[in-house]
Amino acid sequence: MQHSLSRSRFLAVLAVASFSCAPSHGRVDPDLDDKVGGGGTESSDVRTMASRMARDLMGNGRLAAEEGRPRLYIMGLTNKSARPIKREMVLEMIQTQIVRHGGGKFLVLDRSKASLEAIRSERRAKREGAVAGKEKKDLLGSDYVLTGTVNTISKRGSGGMSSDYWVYSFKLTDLESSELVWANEYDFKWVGKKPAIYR
Amino acid sequence: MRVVWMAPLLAVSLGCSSWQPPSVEQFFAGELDRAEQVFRVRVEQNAGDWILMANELATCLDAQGRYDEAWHWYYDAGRAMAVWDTSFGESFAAIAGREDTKDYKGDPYEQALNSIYTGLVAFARGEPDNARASFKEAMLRDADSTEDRFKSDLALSFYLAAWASRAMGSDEDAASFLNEARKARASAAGAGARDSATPECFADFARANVLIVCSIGRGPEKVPGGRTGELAVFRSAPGRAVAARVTVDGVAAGATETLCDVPFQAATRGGRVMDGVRKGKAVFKEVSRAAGVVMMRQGLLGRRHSKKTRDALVVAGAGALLVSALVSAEADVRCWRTLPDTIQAFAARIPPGRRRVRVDFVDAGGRPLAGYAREVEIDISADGTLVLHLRSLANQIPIPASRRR
Repeated sequence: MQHSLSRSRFLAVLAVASFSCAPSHGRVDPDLDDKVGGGGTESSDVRTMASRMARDLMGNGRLAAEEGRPRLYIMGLTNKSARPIKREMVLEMIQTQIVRHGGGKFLVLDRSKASLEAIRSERRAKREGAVAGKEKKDLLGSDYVLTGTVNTISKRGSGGMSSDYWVYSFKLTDLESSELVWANEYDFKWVGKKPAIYR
Repeated sequence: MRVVWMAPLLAVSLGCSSWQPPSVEQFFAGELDRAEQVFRVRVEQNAGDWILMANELATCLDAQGRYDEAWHWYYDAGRAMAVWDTSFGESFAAIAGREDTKDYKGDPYEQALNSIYTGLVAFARGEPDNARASFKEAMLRDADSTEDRFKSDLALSFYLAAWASRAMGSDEDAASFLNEARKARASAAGAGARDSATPECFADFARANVLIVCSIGRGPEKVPGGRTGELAVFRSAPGRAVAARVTVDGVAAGATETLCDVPFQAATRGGRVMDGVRKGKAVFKEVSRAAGVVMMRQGLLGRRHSKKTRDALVVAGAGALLVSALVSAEADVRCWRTLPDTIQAFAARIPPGRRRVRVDFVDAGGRPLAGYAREVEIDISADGTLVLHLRSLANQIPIPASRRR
């Protein structure tokens, strides 16, 4: 009896000792909570936001009723929050969603600095005969511009309590009339408490 | 049989050796390639100090002018600093055992400076909005200091947010942040932070179009203090450079002023909950050791007790000594050691065009330090502003060509 009790204690101690340092590494669904914690924009937020904005924009009746395919480009995401962000990730995902799932309703123009430099360089080479080209085209002008802003409200309370409310707002502006054709937003809130070992 | 199940405890205890910091001498000697390798190896090891090593690696990349890489490391380290979720095992180990077994997250001053440097690098990348967001985050993190009178005294965060707001075209926000910077600087100087309570760079803000920020000297390090090392105390060895002088196209333009006294920020983070826990552990450790010695002595040498009682005293005394040995009251002395002693600023109106800016880092006697000077070519536009950040490191390397908004 005493022997078995000692063995069980031994195993319990080993289990406790190994519990906190068990290695674990595996793929998870980016839409699910990864249990790591945090307080900012998560992979699930980026994916949901991009999908929601792209679908809502494509379903806009005003744009759908236009003759031909409206042209738009994505200008940027201005960070007005109290947290730095990786804006390229959000914008590129929205752009990809519109291009992939736009069903031919939109013409998305690539106005990124790197792409414009590459376009100008290639056009120049073609026109100078340095490289062969199938056809010469005009650079397309845009009908609309998609812009966004990020804002946060951050609060700090006693006992290590904190909260952060995030709002990503997007809008589509008519580049001739300045009319705000479409707008939508995505928001979420984090509440946390700093544990005693970090206070 | 007890020995059998106590053995793993001893093994665990012995296995939890204290944190071994990598050398930062190469960084301060300006051997940045070598320093980078040291930090990269430690980042890969991911031994509970990933955030710390990521910040030190980012500092190293930043000093080399590799701003995109530096930004991502500062950013990732900064996000991880805000993750507070801990397992029961981690909390238990940090409270019952060594405190440095928990993941390093940094003190409020380290978290705030992570945000400051994320913002300065965002400026270098041409992202004034992300820079301002970072400086606002620094304000929030500084407000996490536990003592009310030292909350929000990081004038640098407000001053830089004013510059970022102006770069974003928001003069109203800029004026508001500048006002807060004045209050914060007066508060810090009143509480003992070095240098002027009313820096000239505040007065020059409205007309200035160039801001030069200098990270000068070597920041404080934490060392164990108290009878059993239960206190984390700061030790400063600030280095030779104490200020910087700016020359534009060969003409003296002025000197930098302190906006962030890093040892002051570190020392005024306030009494932490864990300080109390460690003090309690130190008392418990001493009491249990004394009790163990007394019981062992009575058990082994006492003649007034029966053999059964003496055996029990020996076992109990050994148990008390073992518990005393297992409990660690030592403070967590991990800290960001590539931080500077001070962060200083110089603001001026410089005529538009291509300009050659030279920054001489000087010692306490005002003498320029050989090997520390930096020369940068900058392009100043007619209507833009420019923020430049330099470090006082030996064996300076050329930094990339000018940045402009």
